[in-house]
Amino acid sequence: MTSTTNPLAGRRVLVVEDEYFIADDLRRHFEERGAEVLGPVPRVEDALALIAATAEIDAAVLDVNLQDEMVYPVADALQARGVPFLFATGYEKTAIPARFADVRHCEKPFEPERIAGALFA
Amino acid sequence: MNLEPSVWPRGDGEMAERIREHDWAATLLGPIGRWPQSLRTAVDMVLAMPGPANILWGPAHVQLYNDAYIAIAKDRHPELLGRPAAEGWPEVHAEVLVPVMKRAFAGRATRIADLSVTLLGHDGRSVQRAFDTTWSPIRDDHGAFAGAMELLVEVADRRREETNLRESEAQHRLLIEDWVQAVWETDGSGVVVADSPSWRAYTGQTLGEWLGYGWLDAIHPDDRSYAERQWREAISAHGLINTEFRLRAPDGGWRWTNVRAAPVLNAGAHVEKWVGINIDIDIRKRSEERYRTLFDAMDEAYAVVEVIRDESHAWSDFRFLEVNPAFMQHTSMPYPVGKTATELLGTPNPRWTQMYGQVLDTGEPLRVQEAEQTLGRIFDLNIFSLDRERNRVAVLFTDITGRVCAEAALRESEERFRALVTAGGNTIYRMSPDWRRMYQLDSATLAATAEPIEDWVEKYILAEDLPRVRAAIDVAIDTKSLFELEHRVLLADGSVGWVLSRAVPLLGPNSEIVEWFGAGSDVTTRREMQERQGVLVAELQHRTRNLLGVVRSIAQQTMAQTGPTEHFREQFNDRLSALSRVQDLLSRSDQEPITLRALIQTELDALGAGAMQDRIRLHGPFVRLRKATVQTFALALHELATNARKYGALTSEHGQLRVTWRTYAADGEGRRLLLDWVEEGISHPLEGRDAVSKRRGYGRELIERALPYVLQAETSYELGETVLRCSIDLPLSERADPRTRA
Repeated sequence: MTSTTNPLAGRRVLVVEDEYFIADDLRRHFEERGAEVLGPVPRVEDALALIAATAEIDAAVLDVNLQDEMVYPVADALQARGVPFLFATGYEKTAIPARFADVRHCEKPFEPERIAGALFA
Repeated sequence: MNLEPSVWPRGDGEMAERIREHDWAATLLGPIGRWPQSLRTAVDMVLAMPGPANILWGPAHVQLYNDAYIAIAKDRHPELLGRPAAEGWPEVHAEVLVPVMKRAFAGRATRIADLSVTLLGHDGRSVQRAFDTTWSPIRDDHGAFAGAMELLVEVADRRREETNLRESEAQHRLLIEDWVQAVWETDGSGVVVADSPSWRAYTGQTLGEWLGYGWLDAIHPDDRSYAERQWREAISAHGLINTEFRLRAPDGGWRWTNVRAAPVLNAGAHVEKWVGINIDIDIRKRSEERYRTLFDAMDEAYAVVEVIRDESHAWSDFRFLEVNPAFMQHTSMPYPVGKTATELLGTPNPRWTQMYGQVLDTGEPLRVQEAEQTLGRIFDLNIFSLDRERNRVAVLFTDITGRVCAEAALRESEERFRALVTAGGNTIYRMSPDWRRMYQLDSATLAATAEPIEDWVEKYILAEDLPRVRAAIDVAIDTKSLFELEHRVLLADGSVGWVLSRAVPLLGPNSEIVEWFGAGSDVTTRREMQERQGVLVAELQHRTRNLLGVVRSIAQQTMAQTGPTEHFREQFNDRLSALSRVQDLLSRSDQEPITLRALIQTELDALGAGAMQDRIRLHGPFVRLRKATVQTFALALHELATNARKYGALTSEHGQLRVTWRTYAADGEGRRLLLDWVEEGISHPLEGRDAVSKRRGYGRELIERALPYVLQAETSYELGETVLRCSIDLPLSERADPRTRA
């Protein structure tokens, strides 16, 4: 498979999501399409630790509200490394800080296919 | 009336006798019996006077004088009697007497105070003497001025006599007036029997009209009964007369006159006759009348009072002597003249007497506001002394009760308005036309500004809001229209609040802005509610969409195990119901904290476990769960309860369910919760049960994978022959990581 037909193949994708079943769905979806999932992790501190410990990250999917914590420190860390990511969240786009205005935004509930498409379109 | 020469003039004084016995035929006056009546009357008056007096009569200024004058004449007496003044007083005749007599013949009086003259004594030495002297013209029987009467005192004498003067003051006054219009006499009973040319000239009456009581017809009808009564009373009392009334004038008008008359007593102390004079006081009276008219017409109240002392000489009361009509309106008192304040008011404000006494004591006028409780009024008064010798003060005042009450009412109403505005968090303020100065600010929540300030921006406005505030002010000034802005302010307690501020420009005559009047309402609570509402709406969206994501995943998982079958529908519906119940708990969690016991009880009740209370035991302390943990925990409990009901301890009558929990402190991690779910007496542990033991089912995945993932729980799940034991151990307190906590 080439990247044009399967853009996920061989990609290292970080998943940050505090709902177990959603996280597991995404994991399964990415893995079935040949991607390597980093995580999933449910907490900001776990995500930051994972980013720090991983040399190569191709993309990331971030839930915004992680058990009442906001994911923005993770987003900042990814931006600093130039890693593309998107928000997968129940919040409206307007509730997200202005510095992430250009970040793609998928509102829940979503199909994992849409996430993949949005990440590597 | 013609008296025999030998008996006139009567009286036993030296000069009366000398005049009676003088050889008048040899003088320029001629025989005494032919003297004109006016001269005889003047002589009677002069002789009746207690002080020095003399008459110069005719073109030769022939001199007649009384006993008291002898002290003036000194050694020139008695040769002076009947001699022309030019011979009697050669040193002063040309210089003093001639001009005085010239004025008298022209009908004019002369008063000279401290007239200093140099006279020659009989020894030829010159003597310096000084006199106060008054000359009044006298008419002859034809009405022409024919002589003058002089009343005088030697100045050295006068000073000595002044102390004794009081007693004879009335007489003295009678005699020293400048302007005598008429001289007359009556008999002892007050009936006019002698002609008075000067009276007739003054009033225009004929002799016939004058005689008897005809003189009364010359008096103004309004004054007539008063004048007559005064006259009769004086006659019967042998008293002096000094009264004022209006007399007919020859031109037909009325002139005010002052009548003074005195009885002439004979040796037996009987009234031989009355002598009197009329002084014209018309000019004075008319000016008095003008003042009276003014006082009567003016709106201010006016009163003259006499302040009264008590036995210990302290000011104690006062009596009204005179009031104007406005006085009655301003006080609503009964007519007060002649009465004291105590008589009128009972217990008047003692300050009146004190203030009037003070004005008399100091002579300084007083301007005061003072209330009279007995009248229920407040007055604004000017008090000034009128006659300190007679303790009289004048009071000019107005009743200001209405004004004071209105002012008080206005003040009260303003205070009420301010209280109304500032109560409930409102603010009012006033600004200069360019908003540089704040004149005033009253508020319940902002620190007040009582005096104008320039730094109101620093005092009230947050720096971040300043550009917005300035912009709104500029627009309002440019358009001279309403300023309206919602902005933050620094409150008196140092915190930050929100106000909705509105100000209107007050415009002057040329539609220039005079000042801004503004009001602000405290909208802090509303703003906070709006902010909180925004957070809540975002939360709700987050929760709802997350929930739908969970539902989607549950459906996927369930279907993966059951396929799209009836069995799927049942399990999926069960799980949705569990989700729905926990949403209920979550939505009420602000009012009602979610406890572990409530979460377990809710799931058991949903399965109809109420009837199995004897086989179920729940035991553990009060534990409050964090909202973020509730949903996953509830789904796990649902799976445990469902399995117990369908395959476990709650399927048979022998089965027992025991749920126990406790909290404990873990090393360096804060408190943890340990929950044990134990089912005993299970009949068919493996029959149909979710294939839990064979492959990882949804419930088991929840417990063994989801709880550790989401809640950092440590779990175990053991299924034996007749026993199921599940334990869940998870942190209770929130992680203490400052980096990740808001």
